[in-house]
Amino acid sequence: MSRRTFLVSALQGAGAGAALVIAVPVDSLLADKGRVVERYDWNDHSYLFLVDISRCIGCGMCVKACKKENGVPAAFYRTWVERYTVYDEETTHIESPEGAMNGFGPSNPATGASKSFFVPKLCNHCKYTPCTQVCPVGASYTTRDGVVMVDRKRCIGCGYCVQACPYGSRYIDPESHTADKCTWCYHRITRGMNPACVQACPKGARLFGDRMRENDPVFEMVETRPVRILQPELLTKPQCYYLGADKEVR
Amino acid sequence: MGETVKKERHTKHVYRVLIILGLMTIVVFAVRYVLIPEGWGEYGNFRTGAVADMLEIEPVHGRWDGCKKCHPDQWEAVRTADHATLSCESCHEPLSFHVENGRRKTPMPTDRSYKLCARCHRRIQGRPEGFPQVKIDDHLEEMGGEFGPEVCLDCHASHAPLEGLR
Repeated sequence: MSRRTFLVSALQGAGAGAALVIAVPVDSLLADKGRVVERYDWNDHSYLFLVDISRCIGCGMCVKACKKENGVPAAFYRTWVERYTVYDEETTHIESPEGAMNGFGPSNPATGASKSFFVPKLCNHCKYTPCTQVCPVGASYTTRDGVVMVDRKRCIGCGYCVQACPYGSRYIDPESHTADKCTWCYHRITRGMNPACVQACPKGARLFGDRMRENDPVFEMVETRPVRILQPELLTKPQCYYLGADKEVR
Repeated sequence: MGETVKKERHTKHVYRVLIILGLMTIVVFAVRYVLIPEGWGEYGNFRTGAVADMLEIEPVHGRWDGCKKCHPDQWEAVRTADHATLSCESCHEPLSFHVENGRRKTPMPTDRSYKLCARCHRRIQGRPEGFPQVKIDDHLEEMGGEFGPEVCLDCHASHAPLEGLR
């Protein structure tokens, strides 16, 4: 073989190799990992969450459903409901007994409170999330459809992400000693179901949407209604929006 | 003659450096092979298999209308009454507790306690006005009833709470 023919054939081979890499659809790699994945393409989805505070009645059915759906260990919460009691501009009392897993019990009405309301909380699934940035082993990651999750097999349980999250959404599982958090019920949403908390909410205070679905009512609400995000000054770009949130909510 | 000796010496050095470089390369790749898991970096700074692991988890709660197939009458009764927006699984148990592979596994429990009703309907601080809520003592006094652990169901049917009050 002459040098010329060798170079030509080498170039041809490289070209064919490059073409092969491009031709393989990106998600065929995921497709052969399990039957569920075959009918799910994460490039077709971009999820968002909307909490309508004015609708929340503080029953805590969402917390109960989340616990059962995800086997969340006792005393830890992937979602919880807080009761804000505002007295004046300086004083706000926030409580969440057992994450509101059993709702809010009878309580003496606070005297002198000017307003009181419930605020459901969960992971904000930030676009620029500090929790994945600080992970030293790449166990925290963001999927293409916008969900922040933890690789339990990879996590070393250092707890750095738990500290980094400004919303307190993460915890270290006391059994597996790995970080854990809300996944927007990834195993459900990829099957076309709603997250467990959204399905359990009797008042529609929790809504789950998809930007890439045609005429998505939740995305439309986020686009047209006066929504806000929590702690916008941190520039984390949460994908969880709040409707009717008072200025006290953080 | 002297030139050739010089050349040989140089070749020796080059070989040594090449051998060391080669060994270092092997070590680097060996360490990488051990440390980097399968499927790493295909879509970002994570293991692709981690996503597949999440996808394989079986849902505990069923679909919104998961109970309809076997209980069409109850489903219809709830959906046409004031508790239409309630998920069956909120007051009962998750579907997978009751059904496995499309067959009944365990009987579905029914919580008849007033505490379940009170979760939503007890008048407490923070609950939006306009949502039906009562102070249980006042409500019993007004309607005339004796308090008991299942007191709400004395008058209200849980599936259609404001229909056919007893």
